[in-house]
Amino acid sequence: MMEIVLPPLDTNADFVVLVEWLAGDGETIQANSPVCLVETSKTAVEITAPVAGVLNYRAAVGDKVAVGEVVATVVVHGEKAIAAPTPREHQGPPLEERVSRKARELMAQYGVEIEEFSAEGFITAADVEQRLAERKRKQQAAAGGVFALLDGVDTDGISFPDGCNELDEGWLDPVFFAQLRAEPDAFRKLPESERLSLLRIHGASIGDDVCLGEDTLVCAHQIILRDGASIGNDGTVWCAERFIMGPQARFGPHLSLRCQQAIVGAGVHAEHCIIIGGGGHRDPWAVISIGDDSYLGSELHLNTCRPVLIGRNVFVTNRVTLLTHNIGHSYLDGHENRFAPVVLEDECQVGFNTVVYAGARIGRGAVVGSNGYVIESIPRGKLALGVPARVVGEAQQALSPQRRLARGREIVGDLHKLLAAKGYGVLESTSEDADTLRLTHDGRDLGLALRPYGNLGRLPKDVNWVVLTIDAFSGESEKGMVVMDLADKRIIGTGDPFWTDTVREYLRKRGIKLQPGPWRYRGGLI
Amino acid sequence: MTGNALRCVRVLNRALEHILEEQRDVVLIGEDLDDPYGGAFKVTKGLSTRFPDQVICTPISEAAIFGLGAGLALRGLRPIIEVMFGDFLTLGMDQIVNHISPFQDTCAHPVAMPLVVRMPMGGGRGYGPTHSKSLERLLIGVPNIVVVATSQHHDLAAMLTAAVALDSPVFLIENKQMYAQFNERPVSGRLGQFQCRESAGPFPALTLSGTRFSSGRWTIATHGGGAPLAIEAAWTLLLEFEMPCEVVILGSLQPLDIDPVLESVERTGGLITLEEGVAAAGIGAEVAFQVLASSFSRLRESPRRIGALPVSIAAAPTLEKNVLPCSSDVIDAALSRPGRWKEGR
Repeated sequence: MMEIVLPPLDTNADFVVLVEWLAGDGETIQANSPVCLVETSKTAVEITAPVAGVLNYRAAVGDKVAVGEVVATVVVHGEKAIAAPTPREHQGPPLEERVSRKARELMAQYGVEIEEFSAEGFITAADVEQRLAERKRKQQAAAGGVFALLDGVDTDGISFPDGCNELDEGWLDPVFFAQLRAEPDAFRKLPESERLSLLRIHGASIGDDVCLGEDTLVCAHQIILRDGASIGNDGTVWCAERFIMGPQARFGPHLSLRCQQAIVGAGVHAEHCIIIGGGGHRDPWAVISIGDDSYLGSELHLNTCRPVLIGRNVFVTNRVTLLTHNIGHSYLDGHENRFAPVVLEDECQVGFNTVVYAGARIGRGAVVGSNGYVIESIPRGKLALGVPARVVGEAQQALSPQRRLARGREIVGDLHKLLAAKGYGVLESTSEDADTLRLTHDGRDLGLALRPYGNLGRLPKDVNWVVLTIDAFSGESEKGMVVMDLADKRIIGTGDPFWTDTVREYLRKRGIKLQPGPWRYRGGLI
Repeated sequence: MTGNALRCVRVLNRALEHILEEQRDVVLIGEDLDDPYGGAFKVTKGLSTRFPDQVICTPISEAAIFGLGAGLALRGLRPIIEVMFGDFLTLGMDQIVNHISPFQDTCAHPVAMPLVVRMPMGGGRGYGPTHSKSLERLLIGVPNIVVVATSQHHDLAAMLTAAVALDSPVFLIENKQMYAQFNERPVSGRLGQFQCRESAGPFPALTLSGTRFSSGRWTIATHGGGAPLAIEAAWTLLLEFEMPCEVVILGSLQPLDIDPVLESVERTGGLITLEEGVAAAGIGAEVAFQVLASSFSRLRESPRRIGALPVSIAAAPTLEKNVLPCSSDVIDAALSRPGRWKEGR
């Protein structure tokens, strides 16, 4: 047996690092053939075998070997090999090392397996998100209804109205439809009751108390107008697939709505001159969904070649524009040309004259100020201002119980002032109960009382009371008394409907929407 | 792993062997090139034995080496000079600046100067202030010369062959730490986990991306010994901070191959320059100027620059580490954390 001893290679150093074996452990090698590569302080040097024979490692890759130390032995033919110590194992980087930390977290959270990715390259959060979007797309396709057309849009943070997952294709009499298209004026001239009955006969589903204004035209394979739905004068709805309007939903006059599917939730209130649809309304993704209790201000303009998803209780003020695509000069010449959905998550608010650009998403509870231009998504709960809209703070400020109570008193005081100014016989509040408002109207005694806590306290009899509670109310309301729980935003009990609606409308104007809904103000003192 | 790749020192040694064998007009000139020593970094090991007439082992005088090289080149040979340590470039600077460079302009007839200079640069080995510097910046602006930075991801053999074939003086910067590394080349558009694009020409730049050349946030422009640091930083930024960056490993420093950097900045909108030499008036300064001049409107924020501190390089390893840039300096710059990049401004 011959030892391979490390020769002095470099005058500067007493040791070298073994970087690589150039022949296998146990391999038969020739004399002067390379055995291993060592790194001196300056360079890498090959060590060669002094004799022919079987090589046995005596060190491992990565070891520091001192000058004069044995690196390996060579057993000359015929000799018996001596068991060598097993070299340390050096493994390559495991597969997981190319997964980013955030990607790893997402994979664990959503149960994505590493095998779903290609064998090479890095895996980042964006890659995992892409997988999740694909997964969502498949789920949406399986869910059917409008979901099948959302093309993987993240629906987190959006409450969909009823009817979004209706799979029924609906039916419309083709003969009637052709006639209608040929002579729309003839249909328009018919009395309203006759128009409704024709629609019922030929495939539309219309709820009780539905009101379609003069010259309104609705065309779709499936039309469902639920109770109390109404469209003002001179409206046109042209949905290729289906048009569903929830109970108490209302569009003002001069509506123009063109898309594939429009699902409008319960209690949606849309003002006049709303224009929905544009060049892309024939695209299969031309879907609009408006969640329950949302408000659309007048002169909203919205194009629909990609989904427009508006969540529940969203507040869109006047002259807002929502764009799912832009038109302009050649995309191939470097101009911007984008097709992307617009998403307004639940409870968000969009200020006057604001433009929301294709691909933007306004997070739940976020507020965009007037004249904003939203080109990037606004995170949840933030206030964004400007062109382009940038986050400047929080949309909401946290109120102490004292501040909440003060604001409640302010609302009662303001209503007091309003009713007095309108000439109703409002009684002066007494110092004993500054938080009440009393008046007489049409021989009825009406009263409004603010209660800081969830208990009602003592109130005079024979008055139609509406009681506002700042904290959550857990009891039962008394007969003829309505409790409006401003913490849980709900109405308990029934009382004078005229007075209840007056107060409820006044609260709505201060942004306080109460359940149960949907509800529509049909007149009162204000 | 790297498969059958060879270490850079072996690649250069084999390339020289091949060149000497094929081209009898090529001569190696330098100190301690002869066997058994084979040069300070063993790049010329075995060559003096095989080609005794083509390897000239000289006394310790860089001025003489450069003068001899220039003379032989003028007389029609194709010399390759090995400067034992790049720091000794200064001893040959008069020959370079006042002779090798202007000869080509001052003669009545066109003059070819087919000279190649190989110089190990860079620290990290505890060799102290006179054997660890990166002085390629001194060559920038000297007319009529080509300055090329090699790295372990470049085709070293092809670069050396191309340098010998050029009729102009070519200065090849070789990082000392590179010699012991595998010459790991991109295979079918990939370098390890990164996607890789290589620019055209004999001394190409490599552009690396971990995210298929999309969504990059910074372009890290570097050369030579900065390459492994930049790659390490890009790796960490991507995996730990979800911040994809592109790395451009420059080849030709003069003329500066700026196009790959501009193309990358077009995608990322941010520039970080990284070099092992001192930052002030360095390669990064030139790169940053070119980017500002051509792509100002594409930049999201002002460029960031990282280099060695303007002090002598310490011999003690821990002190040396403080002087030379490292990957965490790049990470600090990319994340806008306090750090060396602030000093580079």
